[in-house]
Amino acid sequence: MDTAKSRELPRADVLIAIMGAPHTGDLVTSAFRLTQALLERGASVHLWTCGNATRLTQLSLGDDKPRNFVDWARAYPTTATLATELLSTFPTTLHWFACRFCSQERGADAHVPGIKLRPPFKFTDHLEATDKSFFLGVC
Amino acid sequence: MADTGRRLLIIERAYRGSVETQFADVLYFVRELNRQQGGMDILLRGLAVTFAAAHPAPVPALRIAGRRLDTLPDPRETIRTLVSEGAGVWAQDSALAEFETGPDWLQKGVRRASDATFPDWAGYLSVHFL
Amino acid sequence: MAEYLLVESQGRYAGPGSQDFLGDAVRLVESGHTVTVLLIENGVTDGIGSVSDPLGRLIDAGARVWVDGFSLEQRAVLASRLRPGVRPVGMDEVAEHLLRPGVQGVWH
Repeated sequence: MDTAKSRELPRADVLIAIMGAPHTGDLVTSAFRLTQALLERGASVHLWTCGNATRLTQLSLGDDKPRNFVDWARAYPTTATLATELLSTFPTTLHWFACRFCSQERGADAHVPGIKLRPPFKFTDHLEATDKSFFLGVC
Repeated sequence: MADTGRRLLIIERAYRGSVETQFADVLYFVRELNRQQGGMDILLRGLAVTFAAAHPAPVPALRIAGRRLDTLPDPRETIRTLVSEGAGVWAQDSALAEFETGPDWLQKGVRRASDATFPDWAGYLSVHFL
Repeated sequence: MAEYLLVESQGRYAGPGSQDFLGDAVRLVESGHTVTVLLIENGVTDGIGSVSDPLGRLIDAGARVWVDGFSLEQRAVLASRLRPGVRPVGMDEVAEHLLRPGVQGVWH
């Protein structure tokens, strides 16, 4: 796990902080769509997850969702898989951070490789390191 | 009101997480519960009435990294399936008025719920919001 | 004067917050700022019909009002239901706009 403790925070064009919880609305879908569109334009992005959104990249999610009992053979990727694919497709321009406190509070601090744990008191560094920022949802 | 012998589920919160939910949306649970119960009634309210649109357009897919993600929830198809599997589906007309574009907008087999024709709670074994 | 991209993602079915947010947009426009409003997710419902007074004031005041085409399709909302002055866009156009120098984003 990369804790990003002492490294210089890379600058980025946009910070997208997913504050709201998954499975309550479409903010996670919007975060993926906006991130993809920004990265395809050559922009750099910090993704930060807080609260229950830290569960999006939990290692224990595995590659696929549980089976669909009405379509048994079909595979459905987990958000952890989608995050991993995004990070490998845009290795230098996407940086994905998960709030360490929120992760630990939920027993979810084992993330897929590439996700950097950051303490919440460093969040302001991300605001300073990016030109623009969006907070999606509320904790 | 005659006893329906059924339970009534009311859905008013719609579109709760496409990428993370995919097939396992609220209607996936409703479909399974309908099977276990041997028939249920469902009342769609608010934005959830759009689940009952006959709209023929497919659910849009997303591009994420190099992947085309085409496994997003398809509530309109699930409502079609629920009707075919014996569920009673209602859609509240005050919400329908926001979205309807003509007489063919609503799926066949879905009933309009209005003040005059409304699923009477007293006729159900239980009523639940999902 | 500043330039804003204001994103309404909740819509009126979630409560009064969207109308308050669109009211914020009206105040910014009336103060001389440049405002683009994007209706996305369940926020697309604020672009339907004529029930959203702040949105009408926004359009009248010259603000640009976009609605996310993907969200419309997902919700089976036909473009013919949109009020005049609301234009469907894709996320590519949104990203391009956000990256323009000087544009500040606020997401509700």
